[in-house]
Amino acid sequence: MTQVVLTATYFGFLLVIWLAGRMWLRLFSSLFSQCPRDDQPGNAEAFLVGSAMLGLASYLVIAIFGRMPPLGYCLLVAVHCAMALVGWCVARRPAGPQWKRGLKTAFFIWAVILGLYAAQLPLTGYDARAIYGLKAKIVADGANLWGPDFRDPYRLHFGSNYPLLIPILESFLFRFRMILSGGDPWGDVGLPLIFYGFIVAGTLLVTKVTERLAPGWGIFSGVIWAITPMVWRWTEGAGLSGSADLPFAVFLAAGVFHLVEGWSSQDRFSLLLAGIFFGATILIKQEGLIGLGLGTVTIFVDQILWQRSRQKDNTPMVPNRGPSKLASFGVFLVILIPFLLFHRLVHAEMPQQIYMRSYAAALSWEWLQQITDRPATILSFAMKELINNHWGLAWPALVVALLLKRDRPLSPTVRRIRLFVLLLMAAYTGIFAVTPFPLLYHLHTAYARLMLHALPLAIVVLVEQLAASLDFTHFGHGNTPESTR
Amino acid sequence: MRLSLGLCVLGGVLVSASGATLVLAALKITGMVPSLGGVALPHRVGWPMLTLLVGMGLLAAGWPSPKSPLLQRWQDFIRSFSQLWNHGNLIWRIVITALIGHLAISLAYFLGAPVDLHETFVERANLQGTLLSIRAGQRYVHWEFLARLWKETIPPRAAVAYRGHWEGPLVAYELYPRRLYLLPEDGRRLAANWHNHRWLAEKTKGKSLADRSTDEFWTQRTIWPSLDLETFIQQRHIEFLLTFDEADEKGCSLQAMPDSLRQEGLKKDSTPPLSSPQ
Repeated sequence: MTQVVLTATYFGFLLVIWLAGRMWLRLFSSLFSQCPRDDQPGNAEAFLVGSAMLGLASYLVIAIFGRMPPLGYCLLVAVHCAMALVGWCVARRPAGPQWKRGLKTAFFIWAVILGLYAAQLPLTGYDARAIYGLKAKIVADGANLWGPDFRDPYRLHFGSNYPLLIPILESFLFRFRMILSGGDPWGDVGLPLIFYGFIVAGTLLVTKVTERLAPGWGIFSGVIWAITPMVWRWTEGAGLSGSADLPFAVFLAAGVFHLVEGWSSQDRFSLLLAGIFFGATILIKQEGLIGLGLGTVTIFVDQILWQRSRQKDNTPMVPNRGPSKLASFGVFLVILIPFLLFHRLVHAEMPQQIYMRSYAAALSWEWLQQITDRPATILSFAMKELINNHWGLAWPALVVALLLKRDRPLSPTVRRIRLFVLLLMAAYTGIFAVTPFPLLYHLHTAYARLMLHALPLAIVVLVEQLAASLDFTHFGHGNTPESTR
Repeated sequence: MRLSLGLCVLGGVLVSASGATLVLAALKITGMVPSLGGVALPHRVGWPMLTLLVGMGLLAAGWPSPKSPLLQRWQDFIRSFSQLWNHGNLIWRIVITALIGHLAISLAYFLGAPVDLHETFVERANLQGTLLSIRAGQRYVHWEFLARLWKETIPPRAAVAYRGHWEGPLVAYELYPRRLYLLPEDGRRLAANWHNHRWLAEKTKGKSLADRSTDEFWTQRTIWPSLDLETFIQQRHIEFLLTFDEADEKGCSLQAMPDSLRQEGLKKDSTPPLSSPQ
């Protein structure tokens, strides 16, 4: 009976995050009411913004008190419940995909089934328990982040200096359990429900992004993402295992989409959302900084290449909108500041455990000479991994689809998303090439999880490419895809 | 007409075969008939269920003069799809085949998920309920079983020195709010053994153990601080020494720390590190 009450509470918590996120979206959009806007954020963005802002507020409490006191939990829950209530009553209904009743029913049934699985499961992954779960317990316990739990390199605490957003969200569930279940405050059954929220949000996001780029095709992306075993299973590194990679992937996809969209249309609201999503990735995993760097590089490299190609073709240049674009980009950078600040403030001084190794310290000419045979090993491993059953056939389908002849040119948004996915995969391959950890160990334990980061955007690229290579009249869609800006 | 008949026959065969497999699997899962004449029955239901669905789909697609609107819509869909297939080029067909494959693999997982979930719980119960298991001729001691005993013995919030392998962080998670520490020598041994995992050696057929060539290069560049063991233990208020050996249950123990110190068992490690950092 207690578990049923707990499960209902966990679901309620997800609902509060989502509704409070709607309120946050309303607040943020009111700041930029004069900006041109092609589309409205939907339920996926509402859930993501709600999670990010709850995490950010918790980081604020931690930065001030060094820990999460019980009163801090009470206050944050109370404030978010109030926001959720207002969000429910006042906030405009977020734009979502316009689905027929049959599709809505199918989506609802899928979401209920997946929710039932998540509600029964404990954390199953290694990282889920050793890295994120242990942190969640320590944070929920009110232990000090400046104390030995996080700062003694001999404490058996895997990756003690890793970011805390996911453990913070999990710690709320542990706190609920402490209140509702006196006997076993540290049980973790039902904790994967946090990740369930991100799976559903990811499905809506992938659908929406594809629908924006290839009208009428969003549902295909949503289905491909939602059924991919790596997304929803509970095996090591998969969505419901409790590993932070799936939330990271969803935040990263949302961040990249809003960044490239906002940059193209100078929509400052979209850039603000991109800043929040990239900020959340920084507070979820260390790869967040890589994602942010690559996102920025993507925008500027694409801009330079595009301008050069226009000069080469002697195409008349559009009026110089550089200063205005840079001012818009400033919004993106400004909203990142609190995330970067908290990351620096809380984690910068945390020592690494004695059994961890530093990438920066490993890099040297002598080291690079030792590892010249690694690219071949990585490539061979990647070939095997990406046709592994737990991906379905999503990756091979993408590779072959890219060979299809397009009936229409690439839009800047699609071009930038492609460039980002390419750079991300190249960067991760580079990480494996120089890793100071034994290569086979690192590949077997991390490669699939890192590739998950690219999956949402890769699916968008796949379906958009299919849409662009087919005559739309076959499916009875008269809509034109996103215009080339 | 001939095509419709062919589809019906193929669909019927698939439905019959997968239906029979599902019945056998149900007998096995419910424990009513574990094996048939010494032959183990199937227990995976994902692919048989998918085959059943495909068979029913083929049967419905080839069914002559359908009266049900649902059946008619299905046949219309199949006709549209075959037109689309004929319209596309080779690359397009490969992509569509890959996507159908994706759908099939994913659905097979999805349909098999209840059984997988059940097996996850059974495995978890086995790990928590028995001390060890033997897989591929090797002994595997379950820390999950011992954790329950350790929880009873070690008071909450006590500090514990852990001597073991990579399951240590999982034990730390399970035993929380007890705090686990690594003694300096154990930390060094763990750092020198990133390549050394039994599951990985099994998976890579021993190749991961040879992965050490570059590892040694790295570990030899590490400078380790020298620490006084007694001060180290006193500073952290470590009361227990927990030793776990996944391959040997006799190597697993929980001792009060002062006794171990008196015997100076900590200063001389019984299993020397595979490589000593300089």
